[in-house]
Amino acid sequence: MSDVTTASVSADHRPQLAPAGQGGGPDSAWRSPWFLGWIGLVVVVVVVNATMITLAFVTNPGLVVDDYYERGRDVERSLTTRRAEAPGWTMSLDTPADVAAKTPTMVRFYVVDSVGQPVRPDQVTYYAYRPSDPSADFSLPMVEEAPGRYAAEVTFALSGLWDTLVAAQTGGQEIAFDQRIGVADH
Amino acid sequence: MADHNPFPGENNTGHFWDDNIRELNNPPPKWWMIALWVSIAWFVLYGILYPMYPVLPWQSQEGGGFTKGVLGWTSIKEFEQGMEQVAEVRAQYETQIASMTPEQILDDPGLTQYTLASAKVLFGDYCAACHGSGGQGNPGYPVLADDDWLYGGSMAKIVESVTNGRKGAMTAHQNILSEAEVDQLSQFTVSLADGGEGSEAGWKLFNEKGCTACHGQQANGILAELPDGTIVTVGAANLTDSIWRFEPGGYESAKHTILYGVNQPGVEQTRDAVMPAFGDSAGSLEGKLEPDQIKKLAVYVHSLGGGQ
Repeated sequence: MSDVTTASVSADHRPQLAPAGQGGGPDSAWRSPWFLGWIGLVVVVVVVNATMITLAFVTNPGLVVDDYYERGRDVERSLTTRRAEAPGWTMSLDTPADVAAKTPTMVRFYVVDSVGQPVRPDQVTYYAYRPSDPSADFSLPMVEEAPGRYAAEVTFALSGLWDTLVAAQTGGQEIAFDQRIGVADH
Repeated sequence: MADHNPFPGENNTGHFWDDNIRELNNPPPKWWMIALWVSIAWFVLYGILYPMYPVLPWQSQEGGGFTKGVLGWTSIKEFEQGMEQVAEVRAQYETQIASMTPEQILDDPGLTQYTLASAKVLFGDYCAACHGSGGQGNPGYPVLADDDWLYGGSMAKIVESVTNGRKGAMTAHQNILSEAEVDQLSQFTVSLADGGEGSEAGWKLFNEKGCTACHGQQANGILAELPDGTIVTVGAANLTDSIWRFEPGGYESAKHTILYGVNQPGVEQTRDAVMPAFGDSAGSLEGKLEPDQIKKLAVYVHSLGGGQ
């Protein structure tokens, strides 16, 4: 039997595979490069999909905020409350421009009141959030160097984007100041 | 294991399994034996040359309980040699810096580059806490990266500021001026800062109350300009630009400064505006800067953008 007769054409013009019983024989579809190529393509797509889905599950960091729904629902009210309670402070967070991963860096927070006099909150805390991975988040207290000036030595474990936030607590009220920074490679 | 050896004269170990599987007594390959002896020799030689074994306390030589090795190598010694090499490279620059003025350093591009790299560390250690990591200033602390200077931005003035420090002074006017006058002067400064001309009444009051003594006739902080271009100031702010010495600025800030002054003893709400002296004039060099370090910092600060 020649190659030409591998697939015969029936009356309804549909190609038919070789008759049953000749699966591994010279007439098998598994010998057709077109068929194998097509199967190969499908297998590649399925394998890539499976890999991506597995990776997505394995590396899933979880939610950054647990009560995201409640927060979203209350966003307007909390914004209004915060604006109303804002004491009119001027705040500044100084993160050196050349901050690099795995390198201790001094960050400083400055706060003055509405007339420019230094404010001395009860407690000042530095928070660093990794937007894509809450397991890398950390926080530490800032030390008062002078009235209105607070310092902390921080070390970022990973390079890339970090959301930093300084929370100043005073009389039960918490005033926050945030800054998104890019951390260079070590 | 069989009791008798069915393969005599074969150099096997006498261990048999299933009648014909046996363990032969072949020597290891030659290359393997060579490698073994070489590594043993290396181990012994290393032990002779370098520190290796801990020794019992009563056998210990001076400086620690371990064998020292005939080369006397230690990691700290290697580190120190490395540091000496760095110091040698630095020494040629440092010698030059010691014999030059900050202006001369600035004229030499190679030396300037070295000075800036060297001063960056000093700036981080001594200046950044107040003036910001990039000299960008912070609420309550002046910006160094612009051309607005309280005490002058020439190299000599910067050296003077770092060496001797600065202490701002402004009288508290809470018991001197009436409420209406304070209000008028506050509005006057806001109008100047916003780019306005200032009202006639404002200028009149500004002159009458002696504000010109520090802020200058034109309220720009300049008392006089000498023929050689040197500007005479007492550190009072330029009121005619939009930069506020005490952020956030504006009416309330201005009013507070006028009422309570700057660095006034006994006035509780007075502004605090003190820069410590970093030179050795304070008598102690501990934690202070050497003249060459101050020189470097002056070049650095001058190069931040606003040097005059």
